[in-house]
Amino acid sequence: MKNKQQIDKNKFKVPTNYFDDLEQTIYNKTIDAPRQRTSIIQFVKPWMGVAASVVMLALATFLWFNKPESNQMTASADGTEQLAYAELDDMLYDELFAEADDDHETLNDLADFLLELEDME
Amino acid sequence: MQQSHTDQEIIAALKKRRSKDAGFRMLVSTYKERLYWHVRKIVGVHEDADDVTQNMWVKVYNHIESFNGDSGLYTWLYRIATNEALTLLRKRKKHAGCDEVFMEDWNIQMKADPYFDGEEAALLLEEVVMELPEKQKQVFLYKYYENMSYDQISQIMGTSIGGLKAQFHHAKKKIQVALERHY
Repeated sequence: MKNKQQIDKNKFKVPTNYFDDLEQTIYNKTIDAPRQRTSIIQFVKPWMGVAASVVMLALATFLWFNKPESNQMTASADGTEQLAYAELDDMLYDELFAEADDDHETLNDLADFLLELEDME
Repeated sequence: MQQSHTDQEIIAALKKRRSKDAGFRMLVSTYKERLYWHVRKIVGVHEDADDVTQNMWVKVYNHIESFNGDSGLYTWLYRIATNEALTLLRKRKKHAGCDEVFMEDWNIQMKADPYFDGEEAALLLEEVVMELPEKQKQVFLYKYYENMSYDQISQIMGTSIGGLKAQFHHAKKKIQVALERHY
């Protein structure tokens, strides 16, 4: 009978360089792994709040300035008609305010002239 | 390369936050081989031992703060390694459904393991050890392969020395009977 002492204890083998590889794998799963993950999270986390605030602010601003007013032209199914009205508005504006614009030009000229006078003094 | 550091050096490094990682590296390089072989003796197959060892080190790293120095560093590590290895075997047994199927599967795995080149006798010994109840197996492995004293084993397993002696006696008897039956 073979007793237990006669049976070789060292029949277990490992691959070549196994313990070096094992050590590296352990570090990859411990010391190195969480640091990579947390560093990304730590970088992204504070910026997530800032980015969300910017998006909210932009959205609020956009909605505020694009609020449709009662006298403003809004999108309609009959776009051609709206366009015609807009052209008509332009024509009326030209008719009504052309004179006033001329007056403004005169006033501007006068103001320039007075400034020139002041400079001359 | 295996580098050995004293437990005091390792514990001192682990206690400081700045040198925790360096302390962990010292711990791994000092104990990786001993713990691998310990796990390997419990599970048998290299692939399983590799998985268990890696998981065990991840647990050690994540719970390093819970090591309060009441027991020796090796005691703490051996306890984690043993628990991890036994958990794997319990899962396998549960999956197999009964001990016979589990042993059959284990035997097939051992024979297919390219990193086990034992003779029939060595495989038989592993088989008999594998069939031992958990406590008897642990005591036998610590005594037979690690040459630990009962005092050391008592610290790891938290069992009285008298109890350990009884467990080892029963384990030895079972192994002798199994080997005698075969040869």
